[in-house]
Amino acid sequence: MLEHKQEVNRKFSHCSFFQKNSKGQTGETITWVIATIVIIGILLLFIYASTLMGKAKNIVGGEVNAGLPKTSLVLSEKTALAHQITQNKDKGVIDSIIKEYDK
Amino acid sequence: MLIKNKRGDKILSLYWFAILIIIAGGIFAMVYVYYGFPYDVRDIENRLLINAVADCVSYTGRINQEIISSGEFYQNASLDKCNLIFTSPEWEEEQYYVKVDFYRINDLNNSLRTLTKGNLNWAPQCEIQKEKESKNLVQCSTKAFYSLDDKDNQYIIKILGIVRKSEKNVRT
Repeated sequence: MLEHKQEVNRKFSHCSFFQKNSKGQTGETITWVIATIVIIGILLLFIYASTLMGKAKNIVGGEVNAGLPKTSLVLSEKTALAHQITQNKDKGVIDSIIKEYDK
Repeated sequence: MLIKNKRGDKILSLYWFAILIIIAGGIFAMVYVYYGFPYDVRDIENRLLINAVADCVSYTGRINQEIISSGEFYQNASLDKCNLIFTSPEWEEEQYYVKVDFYRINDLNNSLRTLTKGNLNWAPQCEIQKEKESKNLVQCSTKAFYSLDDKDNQYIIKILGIVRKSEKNVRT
Protein backbone atom coordinates (compact mmCIF):
# COMPACT_ATOMS: atom_id res chain seq x y z
CA MET A 1 0.00 0.00 0.00
CA LEU A 2 2.76 2.35 1.03
CA GLU A 3 4.80 1.45 -1.95
CA HIS A 4 1.84 2.11 -4.22
CA LYS A 5 1.33 5.56 -2.66
CA GLN A 6 4.97 6.44 -3.05
CA GLU A 7 4.82 5.33 -6.66
CA VAL A 8 1.80 7.60 -7.29
CA ASN A 9 3.50 10.54 -5.63
CA ARG A 10 6.63 9.98 -7.66
CA LYS A 11 4.61 9.86 -10.87
CA PHE A 12 2.66 13.05 -10.11
CA SER A 13 5.68 14.96 -8.83
CA HIS A 14 7.23 14.54 -12.27
CA CYS A 15 4.01 15.59 -13.98
CA SER A 16 4.82 18.93 -15.69
CA PHE A 17 1.12 19.97 -15.87
CA PHE A 18 0.72 20.47 -12.11
CA GLN A 19 4.07 22.27 -11.79
CA LYS A 20 3.25 24.79 -14.53
CA ASN A 21 -0.23 25.48 -13.17
CA SER A 22 1.14 26.34 -9.71
CA LYS A 23 3.76 28.71 -11.12
CA GLY A 24 1.16 30.33 -13.36
CA GLN A 25 -1.15 31.01 -10.43
CA THR A 26 1.66 32.59 -8.42
CA GLY A 27 2.70 34.74 -11.38
CA GLU A 28 -0.86 35.86 -12.00
CA THR A 29 -1.36 36.79 -8.36
CA ILE A 30 1.85 38.84 -8.36
CA THR A 31 0.67 40.59 -11.53
CA TRP A 32 -2.62 41.54 -9.87
CA VAL A 33 -0.87 42.75 -6.73
CA ILE A 34 1.58 44.88 -8.74
CA ALA A 35 -1.29 46.20 -10.90
CA THR A 36 -3.18 47.22 -7.75
CA ILE A 37 -0.13 48.96 -6.33
CA VAL A 38 0.41 50.79 -9.64
CA ILE A 39 -3.24 51.90 -9.73
CA ILE A 40 -3.09 53.22 -6.16
CA GLY A 41 0.27 54.90 -6.88
CA ILE A 42 -1.09 56.68 -9.95
CA LEU A 43 -4.18 57.79 -8.03
CA LEU A 44 -2.05 59.22 -5.23
CA LEU A 45 0.14 61.00 -7.79
CA PHE A 46 -2.93 62.55 -9.42
CA ILE A 47 -4.36 63.61 -6.05
CA TYR A 48 -1.07 65.30 -5.23
CA ALA A 49 -1.00 67.00 -8.64
CA SER A 50 -4.56 68.26 -8.20
CA THR A 51 -3.57 69.69 -4.79
CA LEU A 52 -0.73 71.62 -6.40
CA MET A 53 -2.96 72.80 -9.23
CA GLY A 54 -5.64 73.82 -6.75
CA LYS A 55 -3.16 75.93 -4.81
CA ALA A 56 -2.04 77.68 -8.00
CA LYS A 57 -5.54 78.80 -8.99
CA ASN A 58 -4.68 82.49 -8.89
CA ILE A 59 -6.33 84.64 -11.49
CA VAL A 60 -3.66 87.15 -12.32
CA GLY A 61 -4.72 90.34 -14.04
CA GLY A 62 -2.61 89.87 -17.12
CA GLU A 63 -4.01 86.40 -17.79
CA VAL A 64 -7.64 87.39 -17.87
CA ASN A 65 -9.20 88.88 -20.92
CA ALA A 66 -12.45 90.10 -19.42
CA GLY A 67 -12.51 93.41 -21.25
CA LEU A 68 -10.76 95.12 -18.38
CA PRO A 69 -8.01 97.61 -19.17
CA LYS A 70 -4.61 96.51 -17.94
CA THR A 71 -3.26 98.67 -15.13
CA SER A 72 0.04 99.13 -16.90
CA LEU A 73 -1.82 100.26 -20.03
CA VAL A 74 -3.96 102.82 -18.18
CA LEU A 75 -0.98 104.24 -16.31
CA SER A 76 1.34 104.25 -19.31
CA GLU A 77 -1.32 106.17 -21.25
CA LYS A 78 -1.35 108.80 -18.52
CA THR A 79 2.44 108.96 -18.56
CA ALA A 80 2.51 109.23 -22.35
CA LEU A 81 0.00 112.09 -22.28
CA ALA A 82 2.12 113.97 -19.74
CA HIS A 83 5.21 113.41 -21.89
CA GLN A 84 3.35 114.74 -24.89
CA ILE A 85 2.33 117.92 -23.05
CA THR A 86 5.86 118.74 -21.90
CA GLN A 87 7.71 117.39 -24.96
CA ASN A 88 9.92 115.81 -22.33
CA LYS A 89 13.60 115.17 -23.13
CA ASP A 90 14.02 113.06 -19.98
CA LYS A 91 11.38 110.58 -21.08
CA GLY A 92 13.78 107.63 -20.83
CA VAL A 93 14.85 108.57 -17.29
CA ILE A 94 11.26 109.00 -16.11
CA ASP A 95 10.17 105.73 -17.68
CA SER A 96 12.99 103.89 -15.94
CA ILE A 97 11.98 105.45 -12.59
CA ILE A 98 8.39 104.32 -13.12
CA LYS A 99 9.56 100.80 -13.97
CA GLU A 100 11.50 100.63 -10.72
CA TYR A 101 8.41 101.56 -8.73
CA ASP A 102 6.17 98.96 -10.36
CA LYS A 103 5.88 95.84 -8.22
CA MET B 1 -12.60 21.55 -8.34
CA LEU B 2 -15.89 23.24 -9.17
CA ILE B 3 -16.29 24.60 -5.63
CA LYS B 4 -12.79 26.06 -5.76
CA ASN B 5 -13.55 27.93 -9.02
CA LYS B 6 -16.67 29.52 -7.57
CA ARG B 7 -14.69 30.75 -4.60
CA GLY B 8 -12.06 32.21 -6.91
CA ASP B 9 -14.74 34.04 -8.89
CA LYS B 10 -16.15 35.51 -5.69
CA ILE B 11 -12.73 36.72 -4.62
CA LEU B 12 -12.11 38.23 -8.05
CA SER B 13 -15.50 40.01 -7.96
CA LEU B 14 -14.69 41.43 -4.55
CA TYR B 15 -11.30 42.52 -5.85
CA TRP B 16 -12.91 44.32 -8.78
CA PHE B 17 -15.36 46.05 -6.45
CA ALA B 18 -12.49 47.11 -4.24
CA ILE B 19 -10.57 48.51 -7.24
CA LEU B 20 -13.71 50.27 -8.47
CA ILE B 21 -14.23 51.89 -5.06
CA ILE B 22 -10.56 52.90 -4.84
CA ILE B 23 -10.62 54.54 -8.29
CA ALA B 24 -13.97 56.27 -7.64
CA GLY B 25 -12.66 57.49 -4.28
CA GLY B 26 -9.48 58.73 -5.93
CA ILE B 27 -11.38 60.69 -8.58
CA PHE B 28 -13.66 62.15 -5.90
CA ALA B 29 -10.61 63.16 -3.85
CA MET B 30 -8.99 64.85 -6.89
CA VAL B 31 -12.10 66.87 -7.70
CA TYR B 32 -12.70 67.74 -4.05
CA VAL B 33 -9.12 68.89 -3.52
CA TYR B 34 -8.95 70.90 -6.76
CA TYR B 35 -12.26 72.71 -6.34
CA GLY B 36 -11.75 73.03 -2.58
CA PHE B 37 -9.15 75.70 -3.15
CA PRO B 38 -10.77 79.08 -3.89
CA TYR B 39 -9.84 81.21 -6.88
CA ASP B 40 -7.66 84.15 -5.85
CA VAL B 41 -9.10 87.15 -7.68
CA ARG B 42 -7.51 89.81 -5.48
CA ASP B 43 -4.97 90.73 -8.13
CA ILE B 44 -7.80 91.78 -10.46
CA GLU B 45 -9.55 93.66 -7.68
CA ASN B 46 -6.33 95.47 -6.88
CA ARG B 47 -5.80 96.30 -10.55
CA LEU B 48 -9.29 97.81 -10.77
CA LEU B 49 -8.73 99.74 -7.55
CA ILE B 50 -5.45 101.23 -8.79
CA ASN B 51 -7.03 102.12 -12.15
CA ALA B 52 -9.92 103.88 -10.41
CA VAL B 53 -7.59 105.83 -8.13
CA ALA B 54 -5.27 106.78 -11.00
CA ASP B 55 -8.24 108.06 -13.01
CA CYS B 56 -9.35 110.11 -10.01
CA VAL B 57 -5.91 111.58 -9.30
CA SER B 58 -4.89 112.41 -12.84
CA TYR B 59 -6.46 112.68 -16.26
CA THR B 60 -5.27 113.98 -19.63
CA GLY B 61 -1.74 113.99 -18.25
CA ARG B 62 -2.48 116.48 -15.47
CA ILE B 63 -3.12 116.06 -11.77
CA ASN B 64 -6.67 116.70 -10.58
CA GLN B 65 -7.00 120.40 -9.71
CA GLU B 66 -8.92 119.52 -6.57
CA ILE B 67 -5.66 118.05 -5.27
CA ILE B 68 -3.07 120.53 -6.48
CA SER B 69 -3.16 124.03 -7.90
CA SER B 70 -0.26 126.28 -8.90
CA GLY B 71 2.20 123.78 -7.45
CA GLU B 72 0.55 123.80 -4.02
CA PHE B 73 -1.31 120.83 -2.61
CA TYR B 74 -4.64 121.60 -1.00
CA GLN B 75 -4.71 120.88 2.72
CA ASN B 76 -8.12 119.24 2.45
CA ALA B 77 -7.23 117.20 -0.61
CA SER B 78 -8.34 113.60 -0.19
CA LEU B 79 -9.49 110.52 -2.03
CA ASP B 80 -13.02 110.89 -0.67
CA LYS B 81 -14.16 112.47 -3.93
CA CYS B 82 -13.05 109.42 -5.91
CA ASN B 83 -16.33 107.60 -5.22
CA LEU B 84 -14.58 104.64 -3.68
CA ILE B 85 -16.85 102.63 -1.41
CA PHE B 86 -14.80 100.26 0.71
CA THR B 87 -17.49 99.16 3.14
CA SER B 88 -19.47 96.02 2.45
CA PRO B 89 -22.15 94.15 4.42
CA GLU B 90 -20.13 90.98 3.84
CA TRP B 91 -17.23 92.22 5.94
CA GLU B 92 -17.10 93.85 9.33
CA GLU B 93 -13.94 95.75 8.50
CA GLU B 94 -12.95 97.52 5.30
CA GLN B 95 -10.92 95.09 3.21
CA TYR B 96 -9.09 97.68 1.10
CA TYR B 97 -6.40 100.25 1.56
CA VAL B 98 -4.99 102.66 -0.97
CA LYS B 99 -2.15 105.13 -0.63
CA VAL B 100 -1.11 107.74 -3.18
CA ASP B 101 2.30 109.42 -2.92
CA PHE B 102 3.35 112.45 -4.95
CA TYR B 103 7.07 112.92 -5.65
CA ARG B 104 9.03 115.54 -7.53
CA ILE B 105 11.09 113.83 -10.22
CA ASN B 106 14.30 115.25 -8.73
CA ASP B 107 13.50 114.00 -5.21
CA LEU B 108 12.06 110.52 -5.13
CA ASN B 109 12.80 109.90 -1.46
CA ASN B 110 10.53 112.52 0.07
CA SER B 111 6.87 112.42 -0.68
CA LEU B 112 5.36 115.88 -1.14
CA ARG B 113 1.91 114.70 -0.21
CA THR B 114 0.30 111.41 0.73
CA LEU B 115 -3.36 110.64 0.30
CA THR B 116 -4.85 107.53 1.84
CA LYS B 117 -8.17 105.79 2.09
CA GLY B 118 -9.31 102.52 3.60
CA ASN B 119 -8.20 100.35 6.45
CA LEU B 120 -4.70 101.32 7.58
CA ASN B 121 -4.29 98.00 9.46
CA TRP B 122 -3.44 96.18 6.23
CA ALA B 123 -0.49 98.41 5.30
CA PRO B 124 2.15 96.79 7.58
CA GLN B 125 1.15 93.34 6.34
CA CYS B 126 2.69 94.05 2.94
CA GLU B 127 6.13 94.23 4.55
CA ILE B 128 5.52 91.10 6.65
CA GLN B 129 4.37 89.28 3.55
CA LYS B 130 7.60 90.14 1.72
CA GLU B 131 9.65 88.39 4.39
CA LYS B 132 7.52 85.34 4.98
CA GLU B 133 6.24 84.95 1.42
CA SER B 134 2.83 84.27 2.82
CA LYS B 135 -0.11 84.92 0.55
CA ASN B 136 -2.61 84.54 3.34
CA LEU B 137 -2.30 88.06 4.61
CA VAL B 138 -3.04 90.63 1.92
CA GLN B 139 -2.50 91.24 -1.77
CA CYS B 140 -0.30 94.28 -2.34
CA SER B 141 0.50 96.02 -5.58
CA THR B 142 2.44 99.20 -6.28
CA LYS B 143 2.21 101.12 -9.55
CA ALA B 144 3.60 104.48 -10.59
CA PHE B 145 3.02 106.98 -13.34
CA TYR B 146 4.12 110.43 -14.42
CA SER B 147 1.94 113.52 -14.40
CA LEU B 148 2.01 117.31 -14.40
CA ASP B 149 0.27 120.07 -12.50
CA ASP B 150 -1.24 123.17 -14.06
CA LYS B 151 2.15 124.90 -13.92
CA ASP B 152 3.82 122.03 -15.77
CA ASN B 153 5.70 120.91 -12.66
CA GLN B 154 6.58 117.26 -13.04
CA TYR B 155 5.55 114.57 -10.55
CA ILE B 156 5.89 110.86 -10.14
CA ILE B 157 2.73 109.47 -8.56
CA LYS B 158 3.02 106.17 -6.75
CA ILE B 159 -0.10 104.19 -5.88
CA LEU B 160 -0.12 101.37 -3.37
CA GLY B 161 -3.22 99.18 -3.48
CA ILE B 162 -4.00 96.55 -0.86
CA VAL B 163 -6.82 94.03 -0.94
CA ARG B 164 -7.31 91.65 1.95
CA LYS B 165 -10.32 89.32 1.63
CA SER B 166 -8.06 86.40 2.50
CA GLU B 167 -10.86 84.18 3.82
CA LYS B 168 -12.61 84.12 0.46
CA ASN B 169 -9.58 83.96 -1.79
CA VAL B 170 -7.02 81.85 0.01
CA ARG B 171 -7.49 78.63 1.93
CA THR B 172 -5.98 79.19 5.37
